[in-house]
Amino acid sequence: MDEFEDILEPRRNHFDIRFALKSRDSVPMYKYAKQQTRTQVKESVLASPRLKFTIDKISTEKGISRNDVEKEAEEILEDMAHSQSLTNLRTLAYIFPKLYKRLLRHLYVNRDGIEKLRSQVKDAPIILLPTHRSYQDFLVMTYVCFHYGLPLPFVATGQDFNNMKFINEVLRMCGAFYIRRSFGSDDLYWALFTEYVQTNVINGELPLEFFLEGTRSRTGKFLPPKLGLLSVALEPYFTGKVPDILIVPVSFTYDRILEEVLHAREMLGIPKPKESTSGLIKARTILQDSYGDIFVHVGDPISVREMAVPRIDRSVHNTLPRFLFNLSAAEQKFSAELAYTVQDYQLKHIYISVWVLCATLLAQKPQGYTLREFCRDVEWLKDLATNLGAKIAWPGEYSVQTLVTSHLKRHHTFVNLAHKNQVAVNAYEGSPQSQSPVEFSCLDEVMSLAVVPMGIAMYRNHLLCRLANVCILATSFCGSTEIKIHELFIRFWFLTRLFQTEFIFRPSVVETEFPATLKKLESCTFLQVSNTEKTVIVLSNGVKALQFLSKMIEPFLLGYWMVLQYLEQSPCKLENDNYSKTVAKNIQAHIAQKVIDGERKDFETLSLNLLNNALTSLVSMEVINKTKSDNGGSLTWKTEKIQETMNKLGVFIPGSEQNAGITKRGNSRGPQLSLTSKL
Amino acid sequence: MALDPMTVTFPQESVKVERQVTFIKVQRVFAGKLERRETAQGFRKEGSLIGRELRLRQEVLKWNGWGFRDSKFEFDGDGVGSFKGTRYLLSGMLPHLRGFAESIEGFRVEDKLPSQPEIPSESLPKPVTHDEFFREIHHSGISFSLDGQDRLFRAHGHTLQEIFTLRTGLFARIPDIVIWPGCHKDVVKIVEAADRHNVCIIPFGGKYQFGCGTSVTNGLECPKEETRMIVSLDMSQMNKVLWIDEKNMTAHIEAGIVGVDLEEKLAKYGLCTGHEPDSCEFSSLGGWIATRASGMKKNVYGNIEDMLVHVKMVTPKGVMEKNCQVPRMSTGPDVHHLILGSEGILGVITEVTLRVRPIPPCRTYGSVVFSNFDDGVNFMREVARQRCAPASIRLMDNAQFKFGASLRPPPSSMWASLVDSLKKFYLTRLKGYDLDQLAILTLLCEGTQEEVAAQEKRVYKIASQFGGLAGGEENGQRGYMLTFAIAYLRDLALDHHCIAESFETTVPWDRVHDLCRNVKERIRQECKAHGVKNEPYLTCRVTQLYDTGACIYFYFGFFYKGLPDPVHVYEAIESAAREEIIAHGGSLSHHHGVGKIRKKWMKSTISDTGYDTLRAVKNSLDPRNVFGSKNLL
Repeated sequence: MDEFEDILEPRRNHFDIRFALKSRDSVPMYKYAKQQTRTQVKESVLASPRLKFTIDKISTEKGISRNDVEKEAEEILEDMAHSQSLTNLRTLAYIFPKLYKRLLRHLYVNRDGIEKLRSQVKDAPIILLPTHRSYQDFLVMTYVCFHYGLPLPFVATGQDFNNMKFINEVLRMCGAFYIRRSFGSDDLYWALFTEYVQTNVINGELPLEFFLEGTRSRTGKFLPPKLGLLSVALEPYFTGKVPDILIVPVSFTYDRILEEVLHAREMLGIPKPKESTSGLIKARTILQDSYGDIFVHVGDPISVREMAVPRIDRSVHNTLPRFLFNLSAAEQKFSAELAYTVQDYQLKHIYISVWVLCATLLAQKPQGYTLREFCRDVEWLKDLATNLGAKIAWPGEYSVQTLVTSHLKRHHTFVNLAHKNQVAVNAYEGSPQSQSPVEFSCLDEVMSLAVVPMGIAMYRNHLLCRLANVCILATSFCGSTEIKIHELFIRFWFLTRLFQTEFIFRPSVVETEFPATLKKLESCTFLQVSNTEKTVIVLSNGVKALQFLSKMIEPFLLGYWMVLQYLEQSPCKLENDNYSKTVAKNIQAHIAQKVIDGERKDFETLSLNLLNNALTSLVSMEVINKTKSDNGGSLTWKTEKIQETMNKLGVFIPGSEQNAGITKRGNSRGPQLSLTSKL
Repeated sequence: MALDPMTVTFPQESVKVERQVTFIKVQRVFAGKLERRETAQGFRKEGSLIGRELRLRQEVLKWNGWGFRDSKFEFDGDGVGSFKGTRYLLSGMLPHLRGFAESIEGFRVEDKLPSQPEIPSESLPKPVTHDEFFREIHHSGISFSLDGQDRLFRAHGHTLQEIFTLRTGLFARIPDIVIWPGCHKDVVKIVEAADRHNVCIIPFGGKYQFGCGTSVTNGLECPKEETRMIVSLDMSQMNKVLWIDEKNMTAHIEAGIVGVDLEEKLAKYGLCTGHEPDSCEFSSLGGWIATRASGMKKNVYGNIEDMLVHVKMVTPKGVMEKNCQVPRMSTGPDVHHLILGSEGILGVITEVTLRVRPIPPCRTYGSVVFSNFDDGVNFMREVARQRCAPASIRLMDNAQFKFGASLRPPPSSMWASLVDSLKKFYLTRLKGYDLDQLAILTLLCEGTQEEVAAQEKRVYKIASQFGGLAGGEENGQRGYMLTFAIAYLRDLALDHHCIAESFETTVPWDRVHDLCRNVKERIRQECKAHGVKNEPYLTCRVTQLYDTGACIYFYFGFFYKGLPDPVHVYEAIESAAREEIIAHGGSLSHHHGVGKIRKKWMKSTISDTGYDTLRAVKNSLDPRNVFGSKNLL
């Protein structure tokens, strides 16, 4: 267990002004750091061979004068570059503790990780790679660095923030630099972005910080890593411009995420307000709420050199000038693997909040818990998760009841403790479940009812993505207590492929993950592997756990099932607009209609994220096809293949054989779900 | 077969007499400029006596270290450093040496590790002999020796691993016989006999074959698994300048001649080759060609391939040579380029025609101080771009600058030390230079007085654009002295539990700076990873510039006490350093060659196809692998 310390503690006892003005003389520095002002960086970017080459190319190809291209380059760069200023940061360092002290109980940081980082700052340029669950991540990271007297990072930020007047400049002065979300074929932008990031990395004065996931994860799960910026940031190592690069994975845990409701709505496709300063001011009411604890786990720095030396031949760059961006296939593969390694590390070092345990339980059983039962189950789940390797942020000094109650209170948006210590999920945000069954009449109604279950599911996903392998294995038993090991593997492999987009599996690791997961469950005495019989037997000890674990993943199975069902029932028509986004929307509407009709109650399957992931997975499993086109790619599918997959998936869905029969008869009635505890 | 070594013919005493005559003539030619010329020849104060020392080199040269026995660094009983011997300008007390040595982590003056005593002949491996071959050589009247010390002496070059073995152990395999051919014909006879009888030949240069580092590539090491008789073909008797053609500016020379001797002989005619590798006191003409050597003054005279007009190589399939002596020809791929860099695996080089040049009347030293290494590199790149480099131009990094400073003699007077501190004050206080950052550049200009003056003016002007300050002639001269001293320094290091070695590369201009920094960084990391407790000593200098890139020379040493197998640790680290060099666009070697220690990178360096081509040449010229040193391929 890592040792955490609360860095807000000293702020509660001392004047913030002293903190804001504290000396930064002893901040460690990369030993070959080159200190450049914003203007110098810009000048050297614009004067770089890369830019010269690109500007020449553009002006020749498009017949624009060099001057015009140069001018455009200068403007783009001006808009992109950060302008971190210590004066500005000190002002924020005065304001932020005041805010945090009000919003948070504790801000925990693992001191150990900080010290390791500090001792290696001098060795190589640093890249901080935090998980991304909230807007706050960037500010918290900078605050932590300021608190510990570490160099303050410059941070890749989406262009959308640059549209917020005033705030964009404040963030810029904190070290934000702005990049467009996509700029595929814009050569000039590519060159500027590459050169700008690399100049800063090579200078090594400030650590580069960005989010591998590319954007905030709204689902509580990890998003597949985006490799563009990572490749750009690593190239200076491959071309020998820096001796090494240190990658520092950082995991954030929030008891309560500021934007929880916003995220839930977004998943449902309820339009999100555009990032704007006025929007932010309106959202200030969130500042009156309480958000509990934040855990920041700073990981051990990973030396890119140590990882790369045995497998990467950098000499492939010797016969090309270094200003042409160029990564070998091996280097691209390496970058991807590094990204997965980092995410794996982040995942393993996320501290699961007690609230996440609560949400996991409530997702399976939204009502009917007495507080006593609930506390008992929370403890049971805590032990289960701990045994399975998850790290739980469980402060030992409080009783379970105190802990649980405080978390439930904090999350009054989603749950309530109103009646006689009954724990129950709210019907709408902030309003308790009414006794009479809710009637829904229109789509909007369904969607707003789905917000709370989405929110709960989002928190549950924090645990689910940590235990995904175990959950998939548990599901692979399909309720039987004895199973041939190879059959188990085939099912595990199928589900792993099916959920590759959902839980970022590297398909290459299935072979190693399967025995490891099996072993983990065996060591918990949940099951027994008989090597002679080549079977796996579920022990009495494990029945409850395995059932619980497979239930955790059930909503996803159902969601994927519904996707397939929709595709089966609506044969692919080429004249239709089959862009995957449109298809996902149609499926969502289809499901919503079933909810209105009272056929189904699983709100979670309304998540556009889930539906899109399902389509992506099916494409990569070649169940359906995607043709590439300019605006997203269009889907085509054949009924036979869909049915084939439905047969495979049906094994895992309770009562599906019956359903299969129904669908064959062309009946549109949905599966009779044996889920007792859906909303 | 037991043979009395004393029956072997000795080289004629007359050689010595001839040498002395030569020396007097040289003095006459260089009347008034004697001192300059001597400094040009590696700071040797006396005339060359190399010829006389030929056979019994054991008496004059160290058997287990670099150079002359009477020349070495030493700390006396009180720990005061000095350089013994009077052969070099650098000699006597060096009061700053100890401070420098002890700045290397772990180094303590009192903590000495002496070498093993000379290995008695009885303990050396018994020679493997081939009776018929031996009989043929015996009857031909060519000089040879089976004496153990003679054989041991030719069993190695100056690679760290070899010297370490000499100091602490024994080679598994040494040559079985030393043969001294006297002329081209002798060589033809020996090679024919060897091919007929399947005997292995390893050519051995005037002193130590293989150019400047004087084999720093394990090039002379006998392959352990070699079961045939191994001949060390000592070329040192083939040391005559056969003719000089002043009209065409060429000289025809036997390949066994040692650098300094060659220059002395040519000087009689007011000529020189201008080829001045750092090892020119000990390395031979044939060795230079066999390794593609590079001389300090290549900016004026070119590298060895540029001055080569004609060459004869005796191979088992006959003699390879051209039928004319012309400056250039278009007759398919140049066969000279098969001979250059062949590292003794294709044949033995016997006679060479070199281009010669008139000795320039004026030579000056100079130096420039830069506030940091990067500025110096940028300056050199600009000099290369403007093509105005003087004969030699070298940039030393901060660590090497400090080492150079440690070789200062004691201040001659109060006045001198005052001047020293004033200089320091000027640099650090007035100019804001950081003594831990600054780099020093040394210059050597040659030509007529006017040419030299113009050159200097132009170079100093560019230097000032890069913030360089003229650092004076004395610093420049000391810089070049350092080159000769550093080779001796390794023995001092070995005496004190330190391993030290040099390696070099060439790299395009845009990567010079990154390569220097990252290679040092990699070595530091590898040292840590291999359990070297103390910070290693690392330094580099840019020694040659070209239009498109530069040659970089690294020195690397570490205190190894406590490591169970320091040589292997060293090898692993050097290998990692080379990988880092290659990853940064550096070459496998600029002039040291490949030998055995860098063979593993040959294929990736020249592509599989290129490698197969060389292999085909080897198989065609030497199908029985007579030249079986196993270098290069």
